[in-house]
Amino acid sequence: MIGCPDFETLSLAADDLASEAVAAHIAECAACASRVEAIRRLGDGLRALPAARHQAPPELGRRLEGRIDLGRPRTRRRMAWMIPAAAAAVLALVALPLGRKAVPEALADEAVSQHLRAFAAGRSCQHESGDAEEVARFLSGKLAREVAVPPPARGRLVGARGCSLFGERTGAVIYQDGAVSVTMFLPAPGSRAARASENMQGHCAPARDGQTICVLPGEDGEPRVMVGELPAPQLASLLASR
Amino acid sequence: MNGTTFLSLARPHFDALFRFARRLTRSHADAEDLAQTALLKAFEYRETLRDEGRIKPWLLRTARNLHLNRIRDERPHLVLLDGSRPGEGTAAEPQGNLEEELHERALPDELALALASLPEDQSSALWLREVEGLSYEEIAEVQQCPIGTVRSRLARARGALLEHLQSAPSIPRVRGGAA
Repeated sequence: MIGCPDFETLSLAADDLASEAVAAHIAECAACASRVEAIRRLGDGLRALPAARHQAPPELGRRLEGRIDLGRPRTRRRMAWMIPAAAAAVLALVALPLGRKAVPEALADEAVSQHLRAFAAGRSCQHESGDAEEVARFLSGKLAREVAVPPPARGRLVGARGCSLFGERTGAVIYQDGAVSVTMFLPAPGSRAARASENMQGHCAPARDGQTICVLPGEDGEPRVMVGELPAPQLASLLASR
Repeated sequence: MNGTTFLSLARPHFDALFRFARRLTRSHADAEDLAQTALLKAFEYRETLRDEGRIKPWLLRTARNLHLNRIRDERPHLVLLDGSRPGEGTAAEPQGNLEEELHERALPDELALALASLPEDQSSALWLREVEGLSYEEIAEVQQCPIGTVRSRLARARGALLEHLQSAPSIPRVRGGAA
């Protein structure tokens, strides 16, 4: 039977890291057992401190999401939207570290305004349908150009409306993810919104009023500007990939 | 590793990172800043994380290193590193919800004060062990020291706290003193 160990050994024992011989001694020695118990109660006291229950502010994750490139994996299927003649140029672009460019503030502000205004006025949809092809036909007719409407990966497609970004005709597709409504704007090629979205595809940023904005590539090469009160990864993954 | 994967790995540890940052900086606002900077730095160097299962100590180590680099560049008014008593140097600044701050300080004041009086390496080791549940190996990784050093820091921290609390008449429950 060993003698009473030093305090460092008792500290190890409190963490159940002491040897069997030490453990056997502690089981037989009231003084050592009392010291080990005191060390363990110290741990209880620390865990009961208010500081031990602090949680990170929710803005921490949000700000981080807005500042890092979510960088969805590159797949051959995802690159199918590239116009072949420009493929080399685009490949060179995506090979560059995209860094932490912010979505242009004007675009974010305009898109959020249009998103919130429509819901506040109760005019979010001119055409309600959960059929992506039907919604695409409605918008194509309204905008006088072909548009593609992807089905959602989760939640539901609600419908669409014609609207404007920076005073130029734009399509808006409405999705619902749980209790959250999301607008996907489809700016026309060459429009101010489309130009502002150049080189921003794959980026998300926090916007005003608790909204998040993501600029995602469409299958036709045109940008999709998504706005909703969702974390960036959730917003960016709302649409099903083909 | 893309941003989405990094976020999904790091998110479960946001609370621990923030608590640790708050301990280091003693300020809610500075803790937010330190935690965010640490996450951005960690993302930048994410390819150096060899084992995704060890992301927690890796994040905490990043925060600690950032904090140490900052204070080395500042005037030495942050006194925790040299183990001086509270009341000397910069006191923790009330931030955010003042009522919450006052409540925190009311109880259990003695234990919090005693912890704050320890040298940073000892109080951090003890915090990481008791509150954040890190193993000795993980603490060694955070503090970039041998495991034997972690062992002795924990013992010294525990011994000092017990001794402090024993001499504080308001906390009679703790029995058993340091060797």
